[in-house]
Amino acid sequence: MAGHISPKSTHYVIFAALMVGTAITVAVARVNLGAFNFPVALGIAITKATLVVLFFMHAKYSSRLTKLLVGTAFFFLFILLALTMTDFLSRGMQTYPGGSASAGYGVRTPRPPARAPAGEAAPDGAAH
Amino acid sequence: MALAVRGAQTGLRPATVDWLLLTMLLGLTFLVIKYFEYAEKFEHHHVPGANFIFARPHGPQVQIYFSLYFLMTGLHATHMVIGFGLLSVIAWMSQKGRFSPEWYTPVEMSGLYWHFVDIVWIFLFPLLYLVDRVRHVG
Repeated sequence: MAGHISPKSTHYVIFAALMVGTAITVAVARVNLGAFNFPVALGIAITKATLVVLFFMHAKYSSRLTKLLVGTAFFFLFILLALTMTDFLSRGMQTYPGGSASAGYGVRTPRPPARAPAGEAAPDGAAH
Repeated sequence: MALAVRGAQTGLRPATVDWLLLTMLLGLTFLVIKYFEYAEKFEHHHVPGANFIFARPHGPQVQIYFSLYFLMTGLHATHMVIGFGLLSVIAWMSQKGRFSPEWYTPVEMSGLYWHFVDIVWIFLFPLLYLVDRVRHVG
């Protein structure tokens, strides 16, 4: 078995980069970026994971077939996660008219007043 | 771990064993920290189920969070216990001189497994412990 041998310095540089990434993740969690809280945290995590796959798992020095396999695996993982997210997005859609607007957010904030269906004086939330 | 693989590639047996033992030691440290975290959750009744108590608002939602927390960290810890066993065997075989620059496949494979577990934690750590923290804790 003959694989590419990276110099020790590469390992130390990647390790340092991963540690810096962790430090940034912790630091950035103390700053409120609003809607960007999640994308920034995930962006750093994806960068770190890419470094691990490329250098520590030697994907960078592997054959094209191996690279294709790695890419395929992540592609299917993405489908898996994306389809799970559709459930999260569509949770509130059928509960009451206009419900999709509050899907996923009803937990934290009060619902916006919904238009009551004609002929009904039901208060908001009574449709559940 | 990556340096242990490098040690095997270059035929540096003592370095391989040392790096493997260091990896296992760090893994064990993680599991000990997890033990204290879990103990604290049990003490505060933050374990989902009949004894779950959360005095502040959104109790049911917090219970869902803790279900995910225990499932994901628990599965991760299970992976690590498996990895610990795997690395013990590899370290033992390495010490016995079973690997050479021509054949070190088991070391490489264990490395891939360990790094996969590593990647899982890269995502779990920010998502379970940090994200949106500032909005609730400050």
